[in-house]
Amino acid sequence: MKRTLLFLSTTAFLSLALHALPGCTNGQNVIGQISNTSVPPSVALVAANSFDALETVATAYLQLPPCGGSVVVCRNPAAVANIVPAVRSGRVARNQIESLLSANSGAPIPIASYNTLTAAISTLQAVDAQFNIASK
Amino acid sequence: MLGTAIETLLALIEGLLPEIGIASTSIVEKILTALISIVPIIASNATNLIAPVKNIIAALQNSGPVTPDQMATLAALDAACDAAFEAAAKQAGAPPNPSGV
Repeated sequence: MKRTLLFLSTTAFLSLALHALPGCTNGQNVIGQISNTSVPPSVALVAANSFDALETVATAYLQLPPCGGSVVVCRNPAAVANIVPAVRSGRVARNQIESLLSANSGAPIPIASYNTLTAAISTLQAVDAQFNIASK
Repeated sequence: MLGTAIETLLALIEGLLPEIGIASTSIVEKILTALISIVPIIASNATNLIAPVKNIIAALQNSGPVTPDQMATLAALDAACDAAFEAAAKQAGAPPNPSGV
């Protein structure tokens, strides 16, 4: 229970970190300027690491015992069915971002690639909310 | 102790929520401060999360290009996270990953 709460609290922070950055629409934060067509590599790096953190949280959920009987803290099969494809698609987007980071050597990352990854992260967050994982 | 820390964390989150979308460095600074403050808690209770959180802190603090060290650290983290997830997915009865990625 405490462990799950800690995971969720951390995830919430990571979400805040991720969403706060592109939210700086007037342009400036400590990382740099976000244009309409690209994001600084550091922002993409935060997104990639945030995805890894979410994947870790998802892993912890999958490791719970299956629901049924007297088990209180458990994994819902329907949640598993949603989490697994969301993580796998997000992983593809994360890998694309990292390939660009490696190939571009410091150049901004196209906003489309970044948006694909953040969309995958949002999907994971929606699954968490849908299945009320916070109460587990 | 842990309960108090989590309560503090949740209070911080609630305090930050209204500021999302405001263009200033203060939000990033607050996130940094909060992330740094939870590192010791994570280190003793959720070790799997320490690497990504530390990476995020480093990225938020760095305004320059991504370094080869950062990429190597991330690649190692990716591999560990992906392997652990796929093992857990298999244990939970999920279908095999068709793409293998």
